[in-house]
Amino acid sequence: MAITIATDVYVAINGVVLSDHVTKVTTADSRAKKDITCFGATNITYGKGLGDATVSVSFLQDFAAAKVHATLQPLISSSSTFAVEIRGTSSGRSATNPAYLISALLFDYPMIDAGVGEPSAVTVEFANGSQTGVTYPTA
Amino acid sequence: MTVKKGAGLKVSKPDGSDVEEIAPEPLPRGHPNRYRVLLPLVVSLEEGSYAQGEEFTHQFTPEDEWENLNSGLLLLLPNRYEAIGSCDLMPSLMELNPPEVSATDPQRERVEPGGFFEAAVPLAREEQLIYHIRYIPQQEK
Repeated sequence: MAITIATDVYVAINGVVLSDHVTKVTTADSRAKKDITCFGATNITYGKGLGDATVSVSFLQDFAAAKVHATLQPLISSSSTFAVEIRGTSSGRSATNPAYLISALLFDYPMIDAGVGEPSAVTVEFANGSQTGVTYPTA
Repeated sequence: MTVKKGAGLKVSKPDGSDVEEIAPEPLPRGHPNRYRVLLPLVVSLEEGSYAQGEEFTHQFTPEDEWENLNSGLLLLLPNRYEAIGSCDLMPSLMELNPPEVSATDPQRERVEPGGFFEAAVPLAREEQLIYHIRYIPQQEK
């Protein structure tokens, strides 16, 4: 597959497609790096600890009914997880367009983050909320 | 004056004494849903007892429903919804365990505003999606 220029990244928050209000997405899928070096060792050795996942999404804020604010605001007051799905393009899931999928929780919601004359934009981080962690479904 | 119970008003007797405050009754949240028992346990409710594989209709609180679905005790059967917002929706992502749900079934793919779909959306998620989806009761289907 060719190198991808990000012009059509797909973002669905809790089943709501908000791609047309997103300017930047950063996904993370990590494992804690644990030092397991013991006496007598000649090199520091690391082992993998617990997994973690976050998705950072920058939105252009929109207070219209059923847009960005109406989607995010109920999530900050809810303790139930919700799905966040990211894909390289808006085409369906496939081997060449895999999804990044987590059951997430939202812990911070900065409703407005804007300066004079600047677009009202907000960046939110969705944190992993289940033991499933990240999956990369292709179908 | 007739005071409806739960109106959240203060009421005085005709002589002006003994003011009584009526606390508002919380509005019921959610609606009855239909469930199937998944685990080899008997689920006992006011309306009856149900064994593994049996189905029943009951109105849980969103929190109780979420716990019962997450534990694997119950399976939520799909309801019908209308997409009332202005964004496209992916109904399969609204279900309990979206990573396990395949979105390849075209019937369940992207729904445009004004469209209708069937999905097993937990009550807690319905509350999260209050601006996006409208539950359609059985009699309206």
